[in-house]
Amino acid sequence: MIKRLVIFTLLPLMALMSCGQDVPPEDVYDNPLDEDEVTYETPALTFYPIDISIDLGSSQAVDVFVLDIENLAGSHVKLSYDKSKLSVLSMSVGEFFADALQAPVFFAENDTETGTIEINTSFLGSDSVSVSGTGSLASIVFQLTTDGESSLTFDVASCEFVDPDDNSIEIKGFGEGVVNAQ
Amino acid sequence: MQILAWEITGLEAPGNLKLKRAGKDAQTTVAVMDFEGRGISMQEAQTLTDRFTTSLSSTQKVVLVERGTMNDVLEEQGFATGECASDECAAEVGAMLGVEFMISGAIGKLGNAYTIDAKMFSVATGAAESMKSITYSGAVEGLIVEIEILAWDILGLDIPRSLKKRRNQGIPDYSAASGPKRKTKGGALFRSLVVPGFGQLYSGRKMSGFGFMLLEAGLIGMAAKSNSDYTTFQSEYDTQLANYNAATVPAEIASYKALVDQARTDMNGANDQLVLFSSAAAGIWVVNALHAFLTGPTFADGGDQGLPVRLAYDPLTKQTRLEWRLNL
Repeated sequence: MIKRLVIFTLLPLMALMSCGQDVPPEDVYDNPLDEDEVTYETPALTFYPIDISIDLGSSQAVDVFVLDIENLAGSHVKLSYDKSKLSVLSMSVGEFFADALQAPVFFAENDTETGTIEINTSFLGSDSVSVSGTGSLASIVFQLTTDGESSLTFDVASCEFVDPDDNSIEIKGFGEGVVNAQ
Repeated sequence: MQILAWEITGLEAPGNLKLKRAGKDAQTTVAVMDFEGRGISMQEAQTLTDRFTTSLSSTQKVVLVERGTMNDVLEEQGFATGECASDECAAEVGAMLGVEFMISGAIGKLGNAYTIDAKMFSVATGAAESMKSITYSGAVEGLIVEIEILAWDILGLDIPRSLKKRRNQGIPDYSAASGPKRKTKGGALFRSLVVPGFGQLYSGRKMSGFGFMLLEAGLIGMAAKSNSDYTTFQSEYDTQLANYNAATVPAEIASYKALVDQARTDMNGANDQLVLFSSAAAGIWVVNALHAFLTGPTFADGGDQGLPVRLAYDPLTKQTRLEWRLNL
């Protein structure tokens, strides 16, 4: 009798009492390109996506993004990767410069011995061509060669932004990418 | 061995020993005279005799003579019902019936106590084979079990466990079993706990019964609607959050972020409503149960007879005990 009473009454009552749902918290925003949410100041350099998951042997494109920049006419970006786990398949110019009125000069160099990549992008001439805002400077396709976690980091001392008058633009923040083997 | 002891000494073994030894193949013929009623009505005495006879038959150790046959013999001898009470008369009737044993007895009432005296005697010799007496205090219905036990006892047989159990359980509530079930506050409470409003309907309060049912159904429906809304908003939230994470253009990021915030706000609203309606439904459920109990059937309605505490006689321990009962 007690068992029946529990089944027929207490369980429905408890179910009614515990009907509330778990509403997601407000701090769910972690897009590395969201200027309002990033922990570093802008202008900044970061990777997108910032958390990269790759299957062993497969490849994944990672963009080098610049955030909240004004009058960018040329850039030199140096970054390093774990050469024991990753290899570079290709590098190409990003949309930030490509969308400008003038085609940019783009050349990138991958040093497989040290695991560093240097990317140079600039507009030639003195007709004040520049870009502003947030956008991709370059797109790099990595391939995972060995299991394990590794990181993508910018060489802070070597990275440089300039305006059309060749004045240096201070880079205040740098994001760090994390590569995980799935 | 006991029979052998009698026979060695040149005596005939008692009938009950023979009965104990006898199987189905060797049954003894017995006739039962109506028990004499002293202080109880003749109908009650005859009813108890009938129960005694039935129980005697269920032992499968004796062959009983039908009451009709015995009444015919009594009529032939010019006896009316109840007139042939002496042992001599019973022996005479037994001889005419051709049975080996006759059983006669009397049921008397002294104050609140009942006595049953039964005797089984040989028709051939007139000697008493077995005499048993029982004293019982309690409701007259309790005599039914006692007289059934007496049937086994007088034959010297072991009393079946089922009869002992019935004796231990006391007198069943025949009034509840035979007539329409008495409505109780506990019954109303139980029904309202299972289905809101059902207890009130059980008590004959249709207005409040249907009222509680509709109110509860409405609240549960609103809670279900809120839950459905929450699920829809959660789906929207997941979609917009995925768009936000995939966005690379600041304007799109801001736009999707606003949509995620809106979806979360909607989820919060739906969740608040869900909690409100479900809590109200649970509260109404509890209130309905209390209402069903408090307004449940009363003694005046032919329902519960007040406190669930009563004094009862336990025939096993021969003591009066205090019982607490809850009718569900």
